[in-house]
Amino acid sequence: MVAIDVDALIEQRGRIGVALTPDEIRAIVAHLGRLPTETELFAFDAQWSEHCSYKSSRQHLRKLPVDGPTVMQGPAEDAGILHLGTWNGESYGVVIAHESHNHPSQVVPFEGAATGIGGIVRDVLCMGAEIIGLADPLRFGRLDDPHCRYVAQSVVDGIAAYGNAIGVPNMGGDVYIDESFDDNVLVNVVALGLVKESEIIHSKAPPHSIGYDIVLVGKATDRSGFGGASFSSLTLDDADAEANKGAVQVPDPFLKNVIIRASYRVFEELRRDNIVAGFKDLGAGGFAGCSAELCASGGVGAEVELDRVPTSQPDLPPAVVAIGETQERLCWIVPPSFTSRLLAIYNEEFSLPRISRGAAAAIVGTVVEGGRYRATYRGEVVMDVDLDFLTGGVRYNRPYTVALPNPPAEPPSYEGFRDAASALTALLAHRDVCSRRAIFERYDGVVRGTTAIPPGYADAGVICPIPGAPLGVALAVAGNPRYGKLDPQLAAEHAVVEAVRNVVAVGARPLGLTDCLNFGDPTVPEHLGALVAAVDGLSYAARRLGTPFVSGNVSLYNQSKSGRTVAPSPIVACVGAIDDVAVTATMAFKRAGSAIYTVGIPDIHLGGSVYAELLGIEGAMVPRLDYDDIERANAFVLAAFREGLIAAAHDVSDGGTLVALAKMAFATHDGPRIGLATEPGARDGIVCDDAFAEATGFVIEVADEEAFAMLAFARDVVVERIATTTAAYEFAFADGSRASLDDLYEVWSAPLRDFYATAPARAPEPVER
Amino acid sequence: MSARVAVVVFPGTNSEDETLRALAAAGLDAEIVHWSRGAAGLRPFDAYVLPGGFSYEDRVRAGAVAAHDEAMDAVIEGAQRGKYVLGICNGAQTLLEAGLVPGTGPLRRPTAAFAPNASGKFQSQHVYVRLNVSPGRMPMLASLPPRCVIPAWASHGEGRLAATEAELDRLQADGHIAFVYCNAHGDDVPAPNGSARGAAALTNAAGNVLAIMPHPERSERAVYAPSGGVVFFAAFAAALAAAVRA
Amino acid sequence: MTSVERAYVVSLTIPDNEAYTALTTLVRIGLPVDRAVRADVWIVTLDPARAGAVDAAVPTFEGMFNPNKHRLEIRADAAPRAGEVWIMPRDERPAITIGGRMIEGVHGVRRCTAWRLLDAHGADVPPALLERATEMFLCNPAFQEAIS
Repeated sequence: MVAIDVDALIEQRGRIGVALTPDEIRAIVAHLGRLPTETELFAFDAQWSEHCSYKSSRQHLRKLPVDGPTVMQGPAEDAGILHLGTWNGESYGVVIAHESHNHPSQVVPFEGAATGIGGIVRDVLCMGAEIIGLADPLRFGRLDDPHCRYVAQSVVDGIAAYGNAIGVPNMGGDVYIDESFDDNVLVNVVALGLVKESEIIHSKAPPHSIGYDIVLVGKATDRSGFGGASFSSLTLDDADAEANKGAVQVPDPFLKNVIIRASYRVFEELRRDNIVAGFKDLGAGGFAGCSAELCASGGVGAEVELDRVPTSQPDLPPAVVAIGETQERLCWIVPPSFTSRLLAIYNEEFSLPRISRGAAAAIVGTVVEGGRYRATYRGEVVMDVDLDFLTGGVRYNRPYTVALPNPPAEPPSYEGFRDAASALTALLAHRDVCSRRAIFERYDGVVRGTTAIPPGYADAGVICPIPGAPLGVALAVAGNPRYGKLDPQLAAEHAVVEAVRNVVAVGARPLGLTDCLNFGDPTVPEHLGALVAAVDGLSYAARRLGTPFVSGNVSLYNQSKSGRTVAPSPIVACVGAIDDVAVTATMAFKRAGSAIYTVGIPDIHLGGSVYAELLGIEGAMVPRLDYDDIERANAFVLAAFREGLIAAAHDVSDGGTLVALAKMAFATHDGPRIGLATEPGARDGIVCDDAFAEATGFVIEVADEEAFAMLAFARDVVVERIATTTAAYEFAFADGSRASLDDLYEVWSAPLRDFYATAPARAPEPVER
Repeated sequence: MSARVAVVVFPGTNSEDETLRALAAAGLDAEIVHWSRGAAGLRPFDAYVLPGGFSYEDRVRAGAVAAHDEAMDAVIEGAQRGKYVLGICNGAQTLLEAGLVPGTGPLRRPTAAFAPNASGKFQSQHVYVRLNVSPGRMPMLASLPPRCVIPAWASHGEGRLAATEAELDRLQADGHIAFVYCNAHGDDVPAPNGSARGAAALTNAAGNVLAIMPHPERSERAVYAPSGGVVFFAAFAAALAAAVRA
Repeated sequence: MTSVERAYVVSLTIPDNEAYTALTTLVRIGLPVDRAVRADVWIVTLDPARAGAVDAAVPTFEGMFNPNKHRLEIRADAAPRAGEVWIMPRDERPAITIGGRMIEGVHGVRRCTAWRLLDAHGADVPPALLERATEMFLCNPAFQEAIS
């Protein structure tokens, strides 16, 4: 027992280290009819945390569309699955999961980011899938601040260290920089998997599993990571920094590499013998949380002996054994006839105990009838709870206010750039536009040998994960904080539209979406209101475009005690399918003499644009989205790709059309060095904002001789020829200005090239943050 | 009878699948063999390929622990008897730690190393490498045309050739530097990782063991650049076929 | 401006997998070692007047030290103790950041790994054995040098 009575328990809860509210504790005591044991208290603390239970957000998330013909499995489990296609008579699904690891990455950035990758790949593995790709949308604070820079560098290092070691290619990601992330970095991670529809494994106790063994696999349990679930649900504060560090988990990608391969072996054996098992990874809530959820969702109960959990430190209290979040652990529910084979694969064939001291697969419990979870430790019962009550969690109907953006005044007149060349030069150097090569070069983009398009070569990464099959999988992310600050609802719509367009830009048909909602304190009505507005935006855009959400995550309390909250950040990932990867293309211009067209009807509003920020234009609206036009443009681009009419394509986003064109030319920088010349009268005049408006659609390169065929295709879409590619490596604008693409390339490459360089010479004394 | 190739996997290796596919695509009879099968499990094979990854998590040094693994005893024995051995990336590091390449010192007493990149950071990028020795110098890739340029992908944190100046001079003079970094046209370029003498790969005196840092095997599906693997592995397969016939 | 060298020696309080693997490798090689102990060393060249400030700052650098898994030893004499060997990269220019941060007064930072090998009684193995272990495994002379 932790306290004498419920009031004492409530009073001590902070010292004990739980984040449960007094009302929540009272509800637990009332339900149990007694005080909870320490183990039970921590179990509820984890399961009822925001991170595990989504108690502030779940009712709003119900608005998201989750069904559709592309959905093989919706958001019920840790990852969603979409129909990829058929090959050799088998139907394949692409698995996708999306999570955040924001708070841990702020406190101990390398390990926080690394364990973020560790966790997301487990979510995919546990569907019975092969892990095939990763993406990392990141939001950093201002990089001229030494601490922000250090956090950013270590986050990238952590993601690289883990992804590279387990040998999963990075397919893309993005980086946005904003002062609102100075104290609260956002680290979102997305993982993809490949599974045959007939071979999906579920994260619940299978039917008729009474008497099955509960087997824990992986790293020996230790004290690390204790308190992680509630840690991520609380605001960060300096004084808690030391305690917070202990709550961050320790990554072990080496062990994970071996566990992944061993698990693939187990999949083989299960499939060969047609055995149905339950498989789930341990994350927030540790072993008790995982095994409880496995049993609860299977409608069964559990009897667990915590003494049988492999540990690396002697005399760990049962609460740590049950709830601690040691990494690299998985949980199986298998029939006893299979258990010895399961143990042999992990412990002998893949020699886990020799790879990592104390690592093993071990039987720790049994599936029983009924709906209770009972755990013993050294002969004593330390947990005896009703599973539905434990995992059902609480729900809060918190108040929220949605701030409607002010209707824009007539945009003030402003002084533009001298000419197109100087405008483009300024845009290319902007923190949200400049080259991110120094970052994605840390990630292995081609391990596994399935890569068709690695990061940096197009708007989306493309892999061909089925050996011999022409099926391609594309992955892209989006979520612009400059829009988020102005209008969370529209920002969410833009995140969906842009993620979808990025995938279309490589000729992939969008299958579905995931989202992560990164917001502030849900007990503050304005912040919850921003989340509600964002969910509305996500829902609306996803419905209009017919792309359902199959998985997602919510991260709240992204703020510091000083009150600074992150920009409302709905971040979206879109996965697409290419039936024959032969149609895809990188964004690099392919030859001189091609025609460049814009595709789509732009909505010329400069709110949130890089151009507006550089010129100090205020009060402008975030661009509106015409979904009919967007759908037609997307359909056109896909059809044109299939017909082989598109040589290169790029979605128009940060910086606008001229930036998109420059990037297509930069992709030819190391050969064959192709420039372009804008058509007279086309959209680059300095008095015409068209060239710098964002979210306007696509730009495409079409071989001159294909232009006529392409135009025939484009009957219901607005396409406008704006430029021609040239053999001279320069950008010639219609207003007569010119810029050398070598010079522009340098302007674009320079700002983040020194991402890993030391902080400025006159750094202030390091301050404990 | 065709040659049987073992793709040797240590704990932490991660590129075995695509390496196997590249060998199979070249017509070779190849098989993944785990470290746990030991030297006995490896001896029956005619050739060995050590793929990329992070064997033993690069503990102590990249490739250092694998070099002392019992499985390597079979690889060393085989190399000394003239079997062909190809090490890619982490596999290459392992061959240098094992002293098989350049082979200018005793076994498992390395005289050269693929040390941490000059940038101090892991780097992943497309590269080109050029054959830097005459075809006769390296029987295991003898059918590659002189000065042939192969597109590849460098993805490593420790790829910088390091050795004493005297040793580097010897490596250059005796034709141990099998491939160097170049551009698409075959002109020398500074190695992106700062590797001494622009070295991307080393071979031993007999030319039956090659340690190459950039990966020739990952471009199977590449849309972003020409594929380099086919030429490279075809030459390896041709050499193996000739060796088996001989 | 005077300059002194100070060593910040960080070792793990949780199990050290790298040391464990080094040990099993040394045993496989045939060396009679019972335990291997490893630490990361930062050799910092600094202005002696700033030593106190640097000492106070280092434990706050997560890149170097996490109190939940590390112990930190500060040595005014930046040299290996008896029974220790330091494996240092050769020909490396000193960095100017320590633990990812810049601090006033720090002129240069070099990093190396410290090893200590123990016998079954917990005592240092004979120097000749440490030297053999260094030659055969712990140090690659192609790019590292051993200091003891």
